[in-house]
Amino acid sequence: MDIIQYFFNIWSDPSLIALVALGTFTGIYVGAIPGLSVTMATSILISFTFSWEVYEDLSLIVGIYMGGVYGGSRTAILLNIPGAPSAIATALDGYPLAKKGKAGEAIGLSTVMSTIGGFIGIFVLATAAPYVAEFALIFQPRDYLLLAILGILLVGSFSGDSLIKGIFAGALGLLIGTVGLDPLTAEERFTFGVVELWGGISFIAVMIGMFGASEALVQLHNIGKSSVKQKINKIIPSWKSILKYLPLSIKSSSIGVIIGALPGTGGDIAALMAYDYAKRSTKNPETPFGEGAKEGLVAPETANNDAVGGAFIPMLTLGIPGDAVTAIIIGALFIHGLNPGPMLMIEKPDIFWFIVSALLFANIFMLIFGLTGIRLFSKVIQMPKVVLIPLILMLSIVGSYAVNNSITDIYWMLGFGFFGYFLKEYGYQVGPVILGIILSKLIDQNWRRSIISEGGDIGSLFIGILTSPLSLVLLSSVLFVFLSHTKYWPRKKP
Amino acid sequence: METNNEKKPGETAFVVILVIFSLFLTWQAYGISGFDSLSSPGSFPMAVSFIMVISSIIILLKSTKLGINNSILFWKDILPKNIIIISIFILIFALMLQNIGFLISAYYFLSGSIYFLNKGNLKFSLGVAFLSLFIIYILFHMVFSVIMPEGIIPEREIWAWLENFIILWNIK
Repeated sequence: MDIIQYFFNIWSDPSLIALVALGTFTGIYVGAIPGLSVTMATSILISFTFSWEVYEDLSLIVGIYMGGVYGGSRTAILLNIPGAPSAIATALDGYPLAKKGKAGEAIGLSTVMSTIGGFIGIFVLATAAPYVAEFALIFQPRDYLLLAILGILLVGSFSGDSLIKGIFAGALGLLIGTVGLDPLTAEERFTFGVVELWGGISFIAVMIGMFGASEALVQLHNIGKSSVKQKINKIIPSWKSILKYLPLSIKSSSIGVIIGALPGTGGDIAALMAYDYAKRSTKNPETPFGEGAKEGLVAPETANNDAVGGAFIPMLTLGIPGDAVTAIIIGALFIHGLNPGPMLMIEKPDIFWFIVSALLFANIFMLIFGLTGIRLFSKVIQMPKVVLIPLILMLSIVGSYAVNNSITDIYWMLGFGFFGYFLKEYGYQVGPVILGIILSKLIDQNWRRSIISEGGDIGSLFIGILTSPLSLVLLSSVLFVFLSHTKYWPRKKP
Repeated sequence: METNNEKKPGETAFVVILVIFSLFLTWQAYGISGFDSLSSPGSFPMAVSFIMVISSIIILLKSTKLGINNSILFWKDILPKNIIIISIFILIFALMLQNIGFLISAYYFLSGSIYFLNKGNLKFSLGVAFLSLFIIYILFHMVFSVIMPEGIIPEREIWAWLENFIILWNIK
């Protein structure tokens, strides 16, 4: 009975529904503007909304996340620039379709398939997450330690071309997360005697610097380039077309939700795997893959929005982010005094059901906004960068100041912004840094709790892991994921 | 063309800085509690900073084996004039913010950087900066309740005066 009440909380408040709509709309357009990303928007936004009520804040963020994952596909189709990593696979066949003058058709089909994928992901989230959370209650500190290590291995998929650069960035994030007074002993760590550092480095400042300011600086390289205009015609797809691709969409959904739900994987891997599945399973596509096959558009688009619901499962039940955006959402929940994990589901079930409900609305709004407003959309994606980039930089300054009313946080943000710029220029991804900061506390505390519970004996800890079936499964998963990112893992030749 | 077998100008120097930085952090981590015990406050920072040292050294060794990509120039492609000038603009903005206040410093930053990036169109820059700042300021003030440093402009007094004016207007 309570569940129904929590679920319908949002339905009784039109302002919350309006915020989800606003978030979804913003997400679609932010994701669609080249140079802006959903991670950038979410990181800047949470610094402004931290003083809001948690429901209001979540309404906006959930909308932006859902809209942004979808919006990223639009630039992939129109400009061959994926707005988000989860839209990389979309560009492979979406852009060739646009070049053939079928941009509208591609956008319409991707909108409907994203919505179908979104609904399936939300359904799985609502049904599976309570069981996962209940199961997680039996987890020992060593199991959380292994889970967090599994989460940090996500650097493998965040690392771009170089795994070792990803490992460095992830370790840097873990280290930044330890700055301040040790939560267990109150000992100073990396404070250099500066009292302001006792509370640690502002997570928001690092995030805005790394995702907002540094990306704006990178975009200055392309300031003179004019955007390519694509003709967008009728976008609402025919029933015939939807029904034709529905079986593939449902099959891709199962890939999306499973991959999205695994700690350490996200929408980008889900989309690529779904694309690979479509390529292997479609015997005679109308157009070859890579040249505008609609199957190559349907599969990743269903899977990446489906993975949104999936990614919330480890995030809400275990406190492990599935991708950069869910890492930021964990940060937003921290700001509101909430700790994602199994206890959140028990102590604050309203938050979980509210998120499910908000995702549902976001998915509906995504369909509405996705199939309308094409004229406005064409104008927005041509917004001049000479105006856009200074605005992003100004919002980064204001955002980093707003959380603690601290000028010092602005300097941290700028420092990490400039550092992030050079990291990007030299081929490092900044996602692992954020992931490291989020998981730092979880790894540090559970490592120490595990070792203390074994009387300081590391041998006993290993025996404990090897003799517990759950720990053994988690250890095997860690080893499997780690090895799969190395060159020693057998791969199919393209 | 950039390839995986070539490095960009300044890359080796950047990695050397990362190695030195990582070594410094390892030394600092050791200073927290030394090799006291595996559950000491310094154990995790030491392990992590050690990973940073190892990974940065591997990156450095890999980097030294690569040839430099001659088609990329440091001052043209890595740190071009655009980035330097905008970085200076934003640093001045951050320094001005506390004492001069948000409105003036943000207006200076927006109009200045738009003017520079747009290669000189003063009226456009001043107009767009004014309009953007007006919208953002109202949005922050009304929707997000974010209060920025007011500096030399007495914003609180102006808002109070406006509120009184509206109340009086309604009474009339």
